[in-house]
Parts: sequence; structure tokens; C-alpha cells
Amino acid sequence: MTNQEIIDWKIASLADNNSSELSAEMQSHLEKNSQLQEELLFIEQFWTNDVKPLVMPSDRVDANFYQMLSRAQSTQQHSSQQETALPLNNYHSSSKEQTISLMEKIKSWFMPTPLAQFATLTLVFVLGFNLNQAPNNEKNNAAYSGLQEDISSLTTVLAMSMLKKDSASERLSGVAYSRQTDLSNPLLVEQLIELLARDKSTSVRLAIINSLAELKSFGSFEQQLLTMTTKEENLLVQIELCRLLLNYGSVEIKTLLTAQENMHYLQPEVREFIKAQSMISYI
Amino acid sequence: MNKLSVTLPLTLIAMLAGSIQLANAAEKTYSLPLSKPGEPVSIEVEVYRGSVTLVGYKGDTIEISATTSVFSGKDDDLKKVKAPKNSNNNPARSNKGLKSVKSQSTRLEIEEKNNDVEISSEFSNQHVDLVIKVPQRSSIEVELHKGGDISIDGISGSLELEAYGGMITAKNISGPIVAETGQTDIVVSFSNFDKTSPSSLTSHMGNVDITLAKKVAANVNVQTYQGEIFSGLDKDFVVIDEIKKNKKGKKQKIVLGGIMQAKVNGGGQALSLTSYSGNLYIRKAK
Repeated sequence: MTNQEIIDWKIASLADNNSSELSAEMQSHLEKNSQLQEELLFIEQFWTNDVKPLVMPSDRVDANFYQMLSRAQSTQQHSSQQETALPLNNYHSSSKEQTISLMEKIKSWFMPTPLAQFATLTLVFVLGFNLNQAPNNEKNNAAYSGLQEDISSLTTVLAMSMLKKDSASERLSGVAYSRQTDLSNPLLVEQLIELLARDKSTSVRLAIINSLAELKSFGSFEQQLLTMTTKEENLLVQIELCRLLLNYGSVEIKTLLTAQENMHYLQPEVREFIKAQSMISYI
Repeated sequence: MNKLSVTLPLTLIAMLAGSIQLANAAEKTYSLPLSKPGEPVSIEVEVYRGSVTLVGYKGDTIEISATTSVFSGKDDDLKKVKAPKNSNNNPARSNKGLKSVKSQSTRLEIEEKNNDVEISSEFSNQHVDLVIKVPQRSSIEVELHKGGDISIDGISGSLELEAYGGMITAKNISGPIVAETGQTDIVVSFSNFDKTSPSSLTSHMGNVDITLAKKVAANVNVQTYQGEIFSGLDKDFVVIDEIKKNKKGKKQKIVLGGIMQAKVNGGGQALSLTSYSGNLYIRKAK
């Protein structure tokens, strides 16, 4: 049982608006992890908090969010310092194999030339660092990955929350946030496609199409996108849907889109656009 | 002075006053106090036919001026209303001996609750011109189905504007703004640019013309399929390429996107301008 599984369960239960029970295993894992409990509470508060424009989030929500971000940033900085230190270690471990006795070293410390002092300081730093390096490295990488996952989950929650707002500019923000995730959450993708089908704002729909281009594969949504394309009445949206499928769709879906019976449903300007697109050459 | 010489001028004055009253019957003003002065305001305006002008000011009430006039143009929807078909296909009723009464009534509904204001004018044969003064911080949503233009001046809150027949013009705004027209232009002048949310101006067939104040920082994205793009910015527009190199066997495929972008003053929130056949104009304020 991992923290991420429990966070995914929480997001799914909030999105479906049900309060399904935690399994015994999840409950046991959660009870042992107070930090995870705080994260779940934060996600729930953020989801259910009816944020109005010009109203700042509560101090607690703010503090939780920025605490997590600062932990991610400090861990990232710490990791990059480690990566910077490693080449120095490699260099000095070879050059300093020439024997410098401890006494001479201490003597040179008391008769410092700038170069000697620098070398001494570096050696002390690297030696002390290396003694603690190996066991902590894996731990830090795991913590960093964990925080990255947390931030991705939070961004997903934020995106899904904003996509439900009444205001078109807030929904646009939600689409922008969705682009910051890797769209790995199927609930988020499902919500984007649902909004693409029914949103009244052309701007939001065009932004969603741009966002869907980030998907590695459309999977089961591909046929749905094709159906949406052939039934679409908005010229701008129909063109962009065609572009999306032609550029990123499977070979089968492209064949279906350009088939005679489906081209018939497309507006004349869109048919011309497809003809122009077909001139993109293969290298 | 006899009675006739006194009565006649008074009668004329009364008739004049009466006629002025009749002429002014088409214009009405309302002052709407807010439930929570000083707090965020949300205003939603929906007009079937007419024009909507919203002006931001430093006060804390909503000042509404509504002017109506009879619509004399052609309207397919109106024709359907005038000649409804019933299931029995009965002939139109006779109006012999009757005189036509011009309807001058305007139904304008105004609701306010906890600083959420809704103003709506329903489907009718009246043309309703609304001029509304609102607190500068207000968030605005306007939908105008037929007739004239939507005009915005001096509002710093978020704007969501849809005009199906007329133009959209907005000046001295900071956004975020999401605006859409069908065949007409969108003209927007930004005195500042919101850093928290993206903005988007979309016209299917009309032009999109924006002016950016010198201090505005934004990522300006432009896309037009059959129109031209004219820029007065210092920064050039570059193509945002979605380059995906899919290596299948010995083939490579490079996909080029249709959006161009310029980062103004280092970049910031996204400002997207889209038109199918209209031109895009990006100007820098002097």
C-alpha cells in the first residue's frame, strides 16, 4: 500500500461525490502516517472550498500548499547540490591519493596559501559528505519522487476543481493546470472530454483540444473524439478536432476521419483544411 | 385677463409636459444598492435584443439606465412569432375595425442577492439599450443575442462576453477576459493584465484587435486560418511547434502546430487571439 494509492482513492471519491469506505489495509496505512492524513484533509478542503474570485484561500490551505512546495524545492536543491558534489568527489579521490599525512595537512592548514586552504576545505567537505552519502541518497531520491507525485496530485485536484467552475476564465485556468500534469489521471481526461463536448465557450473548448494533444495515446477516447468531430457545428472546434486526430490519432482513426462517409459530415472549410494538412510530408 | 387666456397656456404647458412624459417613458433609471458594500460583486447581464454598456466607477451601487425603442428591422424569429402555426391550421383572426397598439412595455428583470446581480431582458420586439455603472472591481458576464454592441470601460474584474450580432469593445481593463463573437470584431485595450488567469478572444469571422499598455506582461498566442496577423510589438511571433518525433522503423514524423506566440515584457499569463477568417491586430499603446 502506498501513499499515492490512497491519494488517488481520495481524488476519485471526491470526483464521483461519494464517500466510499477505506479498506482495512488503507485505514491501517493511513493511521500510521499523520502527514498523509494532513494531505488528504488539505485535498478535501481544497475540493469542497467554494473559492470565489478575489477571495484568498484560508491561511491553513495556503500554509499547507506552500509547505509542500517548499519541501519539494528544498529537496530539489539538496539533490542538485549532491549532483554537483559528486564530480568533485571523483576528481579529488584520484588526485588526493598522493599521500598527504595528517600532520602535514594540519601544518598546511596553519600556513595557508589560498589554494591549500581551498583544497583542504574541499577535502574535509567531501570526506564528511561521502561518509553520509550512500545511505541517504536513495532516501532523498525517494522523498523527492514522492513530493513530485504529491504536487502532481495536487495540480490534478486543482485542475478538476477549476474545470467545474461557472466562469469561463476559471475553466480556462483549469485547462491550463491540466497541462501541468501528465494527464495520467483518467478521471481528469474524462472530465476534459466531457467539457469539450458540452462547454458553451469556444475558447475553453479550443484550450481543451490543445491540452489533449499532450496525451501519449487517446486510447478508448479516440472513437468518442471522432464522433464528436463529425457532429460538431462550431467551425473552429471542428477544425481543431480534425487537427488533433490527424496529428496524434492512430492510423485507423485517421483513415476513418478521411473516409468518404465521414468527410461528408465535415464543413467545407474543414474539408479544405484536411486537404491542406495532407500535404505535410514524411521525412 | 379672462379665463381663456389663462387656461390655454396652462393647457399647452400640461400637454407639453404630458408629451415629454410620454417621450421619456422609454427611458428608465434604477439605482441598486449592494447587500455587501465593499465586497466582491458579480454581475450577469442577458439581453435578447439591444446593446449593453458597462462602465466601472468607484462607487458601491449599481446604476442602471434602460432605454427602449421599437425594433423596426427584419427578424426571422419575430416573423415566426407573428405568424404562429397551430395544429388546426386556422386562418389568422380578423383585425377589421381594430387599431394596432404599439407595445412599449419593456420587461427588464433585476435581481440582487449577496452582491450577485442578474439583469435580463427577455425576447421581445423591443430594442433595449442598457447603460450600467458598476463598481470597478466587479466580475461581469454579458450575453447579447441580437442587435448592437457590448461596450466595457474601466472594469478591473473578470469579463465573460458573448455577442452574437454586434461587436465587443473593451477599454481600460485588466482581465481576465473571455470574449466571443460570430461575425463581428472584438476590440480590446488592456491598461494592465491579470497574472492569475488566462484570457482568450475568439471571433469566428470577425477581426480581433488588441492594444497592450507598455507595462503589460503576457504570452500572446495568435491563430488565424484565413486571416492575416499584424503586430506592433517589439518581440517577434514564433511558431509553437508540437514536435513529436515518432520513430517507426526508418521513418520520422514531425508535427507542426498552428499557434504562434510572442512573450511580451518577459511573458506572463496566456492571452489567446483566434479567428477563422478575420485578421489579428496586436498593438502597443503609446
